[in-house]
Amino acid sequence: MQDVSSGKPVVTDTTSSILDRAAEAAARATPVTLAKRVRGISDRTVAWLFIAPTIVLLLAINIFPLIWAIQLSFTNYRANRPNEPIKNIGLSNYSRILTDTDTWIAMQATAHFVFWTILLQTVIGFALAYLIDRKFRGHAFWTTIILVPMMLSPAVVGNFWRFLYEPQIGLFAYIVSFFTGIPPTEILMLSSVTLAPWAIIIVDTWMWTPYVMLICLAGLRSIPDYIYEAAEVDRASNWRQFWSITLPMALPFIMLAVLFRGIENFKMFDMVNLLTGGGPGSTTEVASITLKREAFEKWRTGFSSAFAIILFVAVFGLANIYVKVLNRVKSR
Amino acid sequence: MSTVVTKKRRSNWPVWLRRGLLENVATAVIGIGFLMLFQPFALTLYTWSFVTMLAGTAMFIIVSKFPE
Repeated sequence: MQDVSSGKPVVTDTTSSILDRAAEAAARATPVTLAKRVRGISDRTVAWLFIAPTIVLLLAINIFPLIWAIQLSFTNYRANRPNEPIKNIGLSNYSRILTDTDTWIAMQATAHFVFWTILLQTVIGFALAYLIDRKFRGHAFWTTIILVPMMLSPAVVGNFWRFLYEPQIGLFAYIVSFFTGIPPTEILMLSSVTLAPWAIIIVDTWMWTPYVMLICLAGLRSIPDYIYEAAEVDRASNWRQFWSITLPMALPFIMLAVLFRGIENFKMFDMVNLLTGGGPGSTTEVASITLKREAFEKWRTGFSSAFAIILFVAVFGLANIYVKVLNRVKSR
Repeated sequence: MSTVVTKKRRSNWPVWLRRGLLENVATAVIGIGFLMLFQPFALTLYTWSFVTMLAGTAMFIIVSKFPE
């Protein structure tokens, strides 16, 4: 509450008396020994005492491993040979990664996966959000049903989609066979070089489209009704309303969903590892799978640390753009 | 209830050194670096993608402290 003339905050007698009484009650409830001990500690110190455990935990779990990984990325360290002398090799790891065609191909596999999943999830997610926003009968029930895949663990999803993709017993192969006439035993979703990347794209789209739908739905619900009413008065068609009101006003939210899914899919590991493990060959070997193979199969810890730092910079750069878009959405 | 009007101090920084413009430039550099990392056409572009992204990210961190 503020004083109209001076603009200063006003504390009424009633408010101050309530606060005084609360402070007195708190003081009476505090044990005398504790009160003596904490007397003299400033509010700032108390605040620091409260947040210190969190800061220490963050430093230990996030910052320390990051700094260690940066340091290791300049060395030839191998975790399976801890007694070998560690040599500083400068930027060699970075230069090898950035001139290596295998890692370049892994990046292209990641790009293929990220591009198609984002495109499909955005189109289907926005379409679903647009439908749900119509508020038809039972829309709450259908919203809950659509959200179910998102609530499942990726480990569970990966395992049951492996069964669904089985050419002998899998439901997916039988459904495709029913519509196309191709025998189910020829639909090798996880072991065909051309189909395996699409198998992962389908599962990720199935799982994460509801998430995009939720963000788009928030965007659509944030558009005030009076804008549509004004458009109705101006005799704007539904098509015109969609292109001139709905889409531009929901666009920051769509951008947010795209960026968020982009960051998540760029780091995608669990689903790919469970479904194909990077195979057949290296057709579905996305960046995170390459990283795991370098770190825990070839035991090139320094090399994989450098690769992890490159991926980190890419994700961090995307996160900066994400924050910028988020601020724009907030300022609306 | 009255509204609180805060007077913003005018910055002496030149217009081209303001946050909004430079943040957009930094975002564009990050985006270009990202595309260079993922493109399937030239290995040279892939080689220089990390440096581009790093430069864009560092620039973004610095210019986000500049005045509006």
